[in-house]
Amino acid sequence: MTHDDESDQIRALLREAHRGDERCPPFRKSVGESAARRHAPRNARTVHAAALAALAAIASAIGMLSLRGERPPPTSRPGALASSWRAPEGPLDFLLELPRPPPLEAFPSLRVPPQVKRR
Amino acid sequence: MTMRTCHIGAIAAPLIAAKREGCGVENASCLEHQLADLHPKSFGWAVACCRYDRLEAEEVLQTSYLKVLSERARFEGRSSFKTWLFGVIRRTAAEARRRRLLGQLFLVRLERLRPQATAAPEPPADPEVVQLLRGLAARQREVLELVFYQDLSIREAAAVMGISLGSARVHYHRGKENLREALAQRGRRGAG
Repeated sequence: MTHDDESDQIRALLREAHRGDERCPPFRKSVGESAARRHAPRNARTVHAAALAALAAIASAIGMLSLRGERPPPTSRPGALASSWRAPEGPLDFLLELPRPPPLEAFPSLRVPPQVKRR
Repeated sequence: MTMRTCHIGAIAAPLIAAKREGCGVENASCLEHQLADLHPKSFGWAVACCRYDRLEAEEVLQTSYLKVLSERARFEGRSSFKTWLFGVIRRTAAEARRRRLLGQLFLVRLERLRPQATAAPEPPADPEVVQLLRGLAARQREVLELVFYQDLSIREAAAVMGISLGSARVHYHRGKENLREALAQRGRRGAG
């Protein structure tokens, strides 16, 4: 088979596959329908797009929540830092701690003795 | 915006939305005229892009016209108008295919504005031939369609398909080889 024969055969095949193309819709109809279509199906399309977006948002929220649950608790958070703030302690501060309660707790009472009242 | 002067008489009807939306009347009518000239060939190419499904091809062609006339797709003059338009149709068909697959995946009923009242059932092409062509890889089929049915050069076919000339040549030769093989198998089946 020569090159031209092969080309002719391919052309014939393609012509056969396109046999119904002569009855293509008129240009005016295609343009008119495309213009009409531009406005008509917008509602349905918008509803579908909104539904898809809502589904995607819900799915992503669920995914984020599940990921958050699996994460180990953070060791240092800003809130935790604020609540755990104390005055700094030196390494030898334990030497200043007393084994008993401090002596000032035994402060003398200022009541007047009874014999003084009699006078 | 690319403004091209058109000396062909303006086509009055239908008054499409594109004219009202800022692309000058002269430009829009010129576009319409060019589209009308190429309409039969564009339909043939849309049919090929939709794997010989004519109803889907009509939808794709309508969407492509809508893109062109509303200037969502703009002709910049880097190639011939026909090459550019065929590229738009090819992309639109690919988008439609993806949307349909996605719709099937999410079980969403995408609206399909198929014309309900067609005039008469079209004479179907030989199903065996259609099957033969569908058996080819998409790019091989496309390049053969463009070269042998639309009478474009391989360079122009490459521009339509958005691939390099070398790739187009490879697809062209492989497509011919595969088609030859498929035809030989078909002949053997017929003889046996």
